[in-house]
Amino acid sequence: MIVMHSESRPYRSCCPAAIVWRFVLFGVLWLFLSGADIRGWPFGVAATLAAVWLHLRLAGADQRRLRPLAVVRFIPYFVGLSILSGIDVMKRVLHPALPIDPALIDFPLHIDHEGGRVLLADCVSLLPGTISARLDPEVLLIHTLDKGLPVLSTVRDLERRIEELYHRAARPEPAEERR
Amino acid sequence: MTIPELIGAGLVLTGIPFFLTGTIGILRLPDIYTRLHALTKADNVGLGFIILGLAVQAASWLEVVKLFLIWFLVLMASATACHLVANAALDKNIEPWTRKK
Repeated sequence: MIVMHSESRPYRSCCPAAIVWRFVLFGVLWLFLSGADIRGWPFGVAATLAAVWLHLRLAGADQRRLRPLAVVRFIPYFVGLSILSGIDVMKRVLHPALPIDPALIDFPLHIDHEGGRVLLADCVSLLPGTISARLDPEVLLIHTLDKGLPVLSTVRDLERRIEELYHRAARPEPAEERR
Repeated sequence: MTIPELIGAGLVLTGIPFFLTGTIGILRLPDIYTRLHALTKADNVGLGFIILGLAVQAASWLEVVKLFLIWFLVLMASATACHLVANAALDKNIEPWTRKK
């Protein structure tokens, strides 16, 4: 049984609507993955409730809403880069001379909310020649396979596109809610 | 063979070299960080092509949605795992390999 505990960090958006839309989202996800066999519903409901609880617990206090159209525009860019990235690493690995020249690079972050920073760090690992190695609020440490690549400008472009995925903060967060 | 079967088989076959690259990368690359590059990227693209290849042969749109959901979830999981492994290696002060001058 899942016990909602009351200590530690406060739940920011624990109003019924926040729980309901998460329950619907994760419930639909479960239905698709499980093949919608209705006999499995006790497991589905339990897994969905657990996902809602985890999401409320883990999501940062400064959540932004996504702009659906911007997300749709982002997908082809993302898929294109993933394929280039796969081909790039394939060429390097199969080349007899193993043409790599790795280095660690600091990228100063401009995104001012945690969700966007995590999405950026995940996407950096799918760009050609870069993986994200450490994420701080101000700086993303990137490991590159070749320091000759234009890493900073490529990641800056990706960051700009990720910022466009989100609505601006509707209202300033009260200071005590920021963790 | 029907047309979807042919296209599907072609896409699945396109995906296989990427998976192979991930494995060759593990063997040839010099350290944990560079190996993460090969594993994360090549495998994601390989899986993408295999999912596409299966999707064009899928019996229903439900199956297609399920296949792309699986791709998306694996993508998120592998990007996150890649970051966590690199982060843990840095915490252990493992020096990244660099090319000697």
